[in-house]
Amino acid sequence: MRTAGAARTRPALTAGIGLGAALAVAIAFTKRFTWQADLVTALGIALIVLGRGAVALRGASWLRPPAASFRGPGAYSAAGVGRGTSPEQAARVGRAAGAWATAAGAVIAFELVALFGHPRRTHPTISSYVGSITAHDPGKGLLFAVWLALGWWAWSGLGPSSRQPDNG
Amino acid sequence: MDLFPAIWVLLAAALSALEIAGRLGLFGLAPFGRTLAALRNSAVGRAALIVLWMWVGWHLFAR
Repeated sequence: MRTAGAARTRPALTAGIGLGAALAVAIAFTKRFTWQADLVTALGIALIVLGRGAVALRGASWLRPPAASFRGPGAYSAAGVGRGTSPEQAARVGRAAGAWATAAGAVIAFELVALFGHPRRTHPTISSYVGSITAHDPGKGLLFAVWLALGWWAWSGLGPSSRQPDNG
Repeated sequence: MDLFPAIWVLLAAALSALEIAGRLGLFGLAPFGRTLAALRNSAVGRAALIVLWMWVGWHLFAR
């Protein structure tokens, strides 16, 4: 059943998605290192920050993701270590974080090695590969939309009732 | 194949293997998304993610 708050917020969310799509189209027609690219990117950041701020202020809890506790084989709570998690879950979070941090460290280290290597053709960086996507207008617009969605996710869960009790 | 692209392929394969192991629950690992979600639930982790998100966008699309 839709709540009154949800009914009020849905048009705003639709408008926000429409605005995000418009910005994704707009960025496809810009070139880096121009004021137009700066403006559209800044508007994208502003859209996410203001949108999330509005959601938090209006208390539209239906928009926030549920506390991501997932269970089952190999599951652990994403509600954070020390927030009702068992020592086993905490150890699992620590192991997973350690493994991914090590992997990220390896990628960053190699990125730095490649960055200072020449020529770029034989020493490609992550930006070199991403650049082959953003060199095409549709790819650039799509990547911008993905980036906005990631931003919406990263900024989610703000507000007074964002952290729900983990029933696990 | 040049050395550097080959190493990038190896790194991508290692990350994919880590993700698959996480999804299968092997070695007590967790998928990347779940790990990020756990990170996002701490103030410092969230701040780091937000700064990283803004930097990535600015770097890819603006400067």
